[in-house]
Amino acid sequence: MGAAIDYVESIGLENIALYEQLLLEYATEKLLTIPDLKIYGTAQHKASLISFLVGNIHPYDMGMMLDKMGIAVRTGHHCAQPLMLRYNIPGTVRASFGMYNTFDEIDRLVAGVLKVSQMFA
Amino acid sequence: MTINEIQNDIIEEFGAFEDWMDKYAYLIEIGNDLEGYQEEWRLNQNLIEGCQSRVWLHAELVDGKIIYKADSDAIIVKGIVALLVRALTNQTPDDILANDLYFVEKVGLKEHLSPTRSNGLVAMIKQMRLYAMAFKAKMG
Repeated sequence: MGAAIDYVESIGLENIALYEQLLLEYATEKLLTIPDLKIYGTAQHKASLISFLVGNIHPYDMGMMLDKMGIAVRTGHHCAQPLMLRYNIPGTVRASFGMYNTFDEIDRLVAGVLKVSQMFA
Repeated sequence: MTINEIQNDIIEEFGAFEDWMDKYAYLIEIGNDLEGYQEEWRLNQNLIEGCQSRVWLHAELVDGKIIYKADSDAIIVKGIVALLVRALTNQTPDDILANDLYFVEKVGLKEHLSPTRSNGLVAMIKQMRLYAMAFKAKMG
């Protein structure tokens, strides 16, 4: 625990927040180039994560295929069933970005999502 | 055909796929092709709710054999549902209860039957067996 705090402090919380926002902006821009991709949750100062669906591809199907490609996302209703009911969707796919993620990994995520959307087209 | 003959057919079909992408493309195909689940059966009592996806299961006894019909909202789950139905439908309750569905592991789909996947499939198999037990009791 102490070592973890030392590590985070050596980088600086502000630097981490800035980097995560850059990852978020990059991923948002790239993901939105995919046809029929819709992002759920677009608050201006949201944390570095993106909840999305592509067309009517079920989140479990998308998550399963991405998992097979070595890309880790979370799928399902994220314990927010009332919100999913409100949007009338079975759940979402959610990619979260941390200080340990890279821009290259976002390119892989986007390529993976595109590939899956083609498989289900 | 017996359940094991059907299982062996499924194993042989999957043996033709060289990589996981082809295997999943096939699952998507049979998922898309699965039909016959009537809207009047889409009731809460037939719904198996997982955290990730939902499965509907309907069963009836015809001439001593159980006819299963099922559906899911996720296509990959639906593909696996189609395989489970293919293996167990039109069989006697005794044969269904005696079978261990070894094909699932042989074709590399066991990961989908982990309880942590929470996709409704584990509960579906349990429910298929419960129907077999109930129909067996009813037949005396």
